[in-house]
Amino acid sequence: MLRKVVNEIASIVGKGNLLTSKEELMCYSYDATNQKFLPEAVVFPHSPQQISQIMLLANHYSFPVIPRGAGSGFVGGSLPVEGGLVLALTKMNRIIKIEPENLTAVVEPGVVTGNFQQEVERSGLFYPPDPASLKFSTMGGNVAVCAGGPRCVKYGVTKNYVLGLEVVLPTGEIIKTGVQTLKGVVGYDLTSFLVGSEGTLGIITKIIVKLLPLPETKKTMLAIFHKMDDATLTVSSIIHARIIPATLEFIDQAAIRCVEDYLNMGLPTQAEALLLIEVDGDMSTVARQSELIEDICCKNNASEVKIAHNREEEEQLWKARRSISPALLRINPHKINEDINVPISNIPKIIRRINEIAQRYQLISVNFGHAGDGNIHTNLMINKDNPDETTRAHQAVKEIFQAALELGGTISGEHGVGITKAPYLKMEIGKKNIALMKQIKSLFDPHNILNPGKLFIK
Amino acid sequence: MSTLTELSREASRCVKCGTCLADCPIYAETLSEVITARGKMSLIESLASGDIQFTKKFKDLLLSCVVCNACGESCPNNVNVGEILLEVRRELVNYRGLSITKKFLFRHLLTSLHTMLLYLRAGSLLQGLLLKKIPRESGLHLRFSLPFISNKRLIPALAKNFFCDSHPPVVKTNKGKKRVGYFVGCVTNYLFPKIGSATLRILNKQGISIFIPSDQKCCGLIAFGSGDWQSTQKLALSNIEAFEQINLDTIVATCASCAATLKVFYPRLFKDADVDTQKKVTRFSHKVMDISQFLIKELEIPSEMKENTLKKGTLPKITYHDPCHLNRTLGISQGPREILKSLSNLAFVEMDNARRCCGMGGIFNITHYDLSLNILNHKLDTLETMGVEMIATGCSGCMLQFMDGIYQRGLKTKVIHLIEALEMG
Repeated sequence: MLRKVVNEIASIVGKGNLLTSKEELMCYSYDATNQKFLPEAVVFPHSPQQISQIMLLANHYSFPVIPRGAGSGFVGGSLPVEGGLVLALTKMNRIIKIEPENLTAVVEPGVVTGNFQQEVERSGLFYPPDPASLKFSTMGGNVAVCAGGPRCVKYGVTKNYVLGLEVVLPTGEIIKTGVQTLKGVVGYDLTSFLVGSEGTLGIITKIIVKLLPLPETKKTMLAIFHKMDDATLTVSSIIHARIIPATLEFIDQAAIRCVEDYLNMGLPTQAEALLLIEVDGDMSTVARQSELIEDICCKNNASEVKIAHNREEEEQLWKARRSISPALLRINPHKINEDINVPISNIPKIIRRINEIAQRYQLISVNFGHAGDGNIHTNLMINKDNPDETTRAHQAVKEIFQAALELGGTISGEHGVGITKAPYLKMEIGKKNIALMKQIKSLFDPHNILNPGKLFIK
Repeated sequence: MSTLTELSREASRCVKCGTCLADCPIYAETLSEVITARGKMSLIESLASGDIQFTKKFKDLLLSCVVCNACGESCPNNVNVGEILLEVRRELVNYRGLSITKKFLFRHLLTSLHTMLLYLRAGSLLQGLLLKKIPRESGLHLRFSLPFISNKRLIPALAKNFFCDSHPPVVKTNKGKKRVGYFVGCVTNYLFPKIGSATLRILNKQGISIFIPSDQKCCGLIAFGSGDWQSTQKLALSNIEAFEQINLDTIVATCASCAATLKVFYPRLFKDADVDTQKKVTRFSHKVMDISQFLIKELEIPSEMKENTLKKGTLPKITYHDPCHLNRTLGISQGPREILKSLSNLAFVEMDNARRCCGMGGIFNITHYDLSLNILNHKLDTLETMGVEMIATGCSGCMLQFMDGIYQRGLKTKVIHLIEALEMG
């Protein structure tokens, strides 16, 4: 980047909000994919006006601008693949207002999702989307990828909570989309275009979200199954009994064995699946639903159902689910983590297909995830220092995607496309859709300067 | 370069997921990734691969850390960030050398008890010239501002009589219980001898004979944290020798940072040494215990002092701050609470985020004073809301930090050592 450009950026945000040394830039070269691309500068804007001025510069001098929250994405969405300027939005982190009477709140993009949840819960309110990264990922990042999480089976994903946005367009104009009300149908739904656009259509500078009243109580249960089919039958029986649990997570045998080997917490390694179930609501509903669910689990041959009676026991039950990540890396140092999504009834089929594909490519696969909505995290455990294994893993991933699509699913339930899934985009949405999306992109960003190199392969 | 390659291999176990951002007390203030664990792990990888060098910038980033290891604790891949950082700091010193100030401090002053005492005794006599006593506080502040030290800052006064000068090296009892060595530590020795006196009284009452070798020196943590392994090793060996002469069952320390250094860091310092030295160091380290652990394990303190739960509502309130070296390095967090709960004259209340670092971080508090106080401010906010009369902790570094912050904010909360609370209760 030209010295002149760097100086102009510095005059907009101040020298203290600009990083240019190689050492500092390295700390903004990665995200959770663990791939590295060095940016040419990193800037911390404090207002939409500053961002607008930066975008004018970017159009004038033609350099890429890459918005970034906590850099915790799994698909490389915030990586500066073509160099340029990283726009770190972490310092725009004010919760502007929480309005209990309207059930809405307005936040800046750098607010950490978990902090926001704690804050609204203090007023008896509830913001449900709970990606695993909620303690550090930001609201802006969550909106940009339409983040999900365990609770989404009952409460829906991020897009179900975004009412309106303030956005700086790639061309520098500041616009407002959507509404501050719970309804609103005036014109095309630009808010929906932007939610999940992975930072390619605009830079989100304010988010208006809707809130719910905080459920009075919850109950956590863990059910153990010797047959995977019994576990999935349990999932559909629970829904058939007209209960949508707040969480309905499953862990497959490979993951159970892995965690048990790691923690020795007494998990049955012969079991093919565990279901972690949480119900929430008022006291009587929770009591009634948890009894019903226990009954359903038993009828479907659960060998054991554990119910937490206090906070500590809750934590104990969650421990197996939360320990999967560190436990997995004992098998192999790296993992390829994909988040395919299939209709709930096809979970047993997709698990069998994944295991069969992994076996054929001589790879270890571990599956867990959100059974309640059919979103499965499939992990292929590899050592990246072994190029042959890595190649086999990439071939296996393609076949797993194919299987998910054949079973009526999608290649990504909640991570997005970014760079890692861009090569597979065509498999799911076809040429026509891609052409239409590219036209939308060029309408928003005629010079292709905002987060270039994402979603679409050249 | 082989060490750097090994360290880089360890650092590359970091998958850059970002979990460390959630718990880093410095990131919470700066919101910039250049100081986070995954940033540093990335830099170490680049250093080993030759992409970057031991530049001034690299040094600044590497030293911008309190080494609380909250990131290491929550890391899903169990990357031992604290250990890696301290080792890379050694590599940095090997490559860039020490600053003149640090060289003087570590190699000239700390390692020579004679010189250190000479300076400190003179300091104790002359401190009144440069510094002014603050009414009601056991501290001083500068009469005028100096380049790096604000005159608002609370500087603890040097004691009139240092602990080791005013106590005999052996305090024996006839009850024939355990023989315990006491590692006094610089802060207790030179600044707060009352912590040492309280320790002696409590242990004596329990019929324990206490040995205080007069040739013990600084534990060396301050040098170790700056990457000066050479000075730390020298201090370690001379401390081990000082205690080895006496046949002891246990060696207690009242400062969590000293205890962590003697117990955990000393063996690490000599991991490449010859077998005999390693054995000697391990033998010593095995005997080291933090005072709270000793009181609970050996003396079963809380069970002996049955608590009076009835009147707790009207009693003065006391809370507890977990020192990182006690909680994370030594894994001690319940014991001190059990002790406080057992006291009949004080009501223990838990504070929010008790395990969060106070921001002291040894020399970090001097090199990054404002940042250090900003980190502390979260703790002070909590204290202010709770309205507690006292805060107890087990580390002299944390005590100094809290005293400074509490004084500057004008709070009334008293900072005491756990052992002082025990005497009060």
